[in-house]
Amino acid sequence: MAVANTVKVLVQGAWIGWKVESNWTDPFVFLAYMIAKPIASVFLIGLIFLIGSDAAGTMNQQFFFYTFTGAIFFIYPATLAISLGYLVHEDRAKYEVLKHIYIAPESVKPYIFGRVIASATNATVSVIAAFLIGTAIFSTFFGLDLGVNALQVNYPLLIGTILLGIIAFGFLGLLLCAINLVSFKLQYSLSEYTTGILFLLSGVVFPVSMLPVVAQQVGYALPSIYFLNLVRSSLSNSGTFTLDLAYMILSTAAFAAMALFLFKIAEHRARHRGMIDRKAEY
Amino acid sequence: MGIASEVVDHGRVIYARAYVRLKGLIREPHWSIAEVIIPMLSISAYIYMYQVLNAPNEFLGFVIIGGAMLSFWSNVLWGMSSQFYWEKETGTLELYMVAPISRMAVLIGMALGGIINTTIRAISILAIGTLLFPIHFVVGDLSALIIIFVLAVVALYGMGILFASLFLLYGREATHMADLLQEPIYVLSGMYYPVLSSRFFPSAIKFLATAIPLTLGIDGIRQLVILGGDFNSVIPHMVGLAILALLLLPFSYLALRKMEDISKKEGRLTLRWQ
Repeated sequence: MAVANTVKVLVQGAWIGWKVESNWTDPFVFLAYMIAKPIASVFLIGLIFLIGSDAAGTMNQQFFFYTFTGAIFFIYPATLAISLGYLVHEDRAKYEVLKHIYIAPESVKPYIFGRVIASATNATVSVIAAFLIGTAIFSTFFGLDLGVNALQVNYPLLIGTILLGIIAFGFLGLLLCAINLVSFKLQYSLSEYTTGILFLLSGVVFPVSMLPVVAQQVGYALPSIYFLNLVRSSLSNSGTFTLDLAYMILSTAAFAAMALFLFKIAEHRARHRGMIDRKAEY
Repeated sequence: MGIASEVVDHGRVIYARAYVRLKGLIREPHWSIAEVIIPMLSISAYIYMYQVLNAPNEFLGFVIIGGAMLSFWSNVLWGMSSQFYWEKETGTLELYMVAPISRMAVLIGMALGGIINTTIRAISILAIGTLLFPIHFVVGDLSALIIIFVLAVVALYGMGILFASLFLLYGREATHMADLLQEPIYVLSGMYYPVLSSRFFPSAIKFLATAIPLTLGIDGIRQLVILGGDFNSVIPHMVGLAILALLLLPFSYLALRKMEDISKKEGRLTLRWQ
């Protein structure tokens, strides 16, 4: 019974997430929005590569593969961090539904993970569109070939990595929800800080070995770095992914444990201080 | 009512709305800190990327200048364009509408406060960027730099006032539209690379890009502080920015009147949770 309830809330959470994220406009405008934004981000990285390489007088195709795939698959952590970073604020202060979710049985965590499913689905559409359109444009107009052979991609690894990534970034979102539960003015900066830090420390557009040692250590503790490494391994079908996979599982498990623990503490504190339904206009 | 008292009234409205912005800087210092640190994270990533590519050092300066000017674009989008939507959500828009004040004065006050706030942030980004990375700025012609900067900011906030007027009709679309106008503008305006001198952009795209005040502003500033340009080298930038400012400000005034009229007729001014 409890499992059935949890699944029901999860499905409802995903449905609400889809509605909240998409029903501000008609489906075609929403699709254009979902595609235009990530393509622009990928374009930005591609153009930096192109113009920087041109100025340097060398064209490193391997580095193009590195930055381009990094920029495209970074859409997953970025989308999840942004949507879940606003979730508590929106549901508590804007739509005023958080208290109702709390008094329903089996509700909050399955609801949040339902929202994770909705955001991850949107991110997947953006990733596919950015990959196809970005690859076509950069190879047609600028002669930049990613070197990805669709027949040689390690699909089980790619799909497994994406699923593991969604779980990891879902728990990252839970962590952001925990912080937002006990704070009132952080929702905008928190998600921006998170995506900015992940962008800098996860080897998205440059190898983390370029960073100062302390920053490298922080980067190696994040699942996002292994997520991107595994995606690159699966696309290039390079066979050396066991260590990255082990670290990805380990860092995801650590992240999950930390997020669940902090969420429990935050929830306890929020209930005791009457923060679940406190209205704040920010 | 005489012209003098009207001018005083408008001045008071401008001051009152700008005051809120400036007060916010002190009341919520962590927001101001975030608005310096967050762009520095992506700026640093792009600088490292240029370093991996072995691009000339001037490209690092390009990124810092673009990143500093990005603050103005963010402020235009989130502090101007979407502002009336936030005001609607929090219930203050209707107060503006019933008060005997000019809505244009409200927007100008908002812009003025935003310009002061954002200039402080942009200077902070420049300072931190210069400290963290090997970048040297040499200002050859300070007067040209000031003219370019002022013209760019005036044209940019003219665009902000225009967007704020157009977004007056919107509900949640306002935030999504502002969100959508971020990355494509970064790409077109050359936040992190030169656009106007690049061989990778077709002439038509370059022409389109000059319709965004940021493009000419960033390029002009880079010419003056990184590439050793003088007054004459940025005259086309000045002319372009002056034209944009002259077009955008009156156009935004007309748009504001039109959108306010439509909003009143369709009863959208007090609609929340759209």
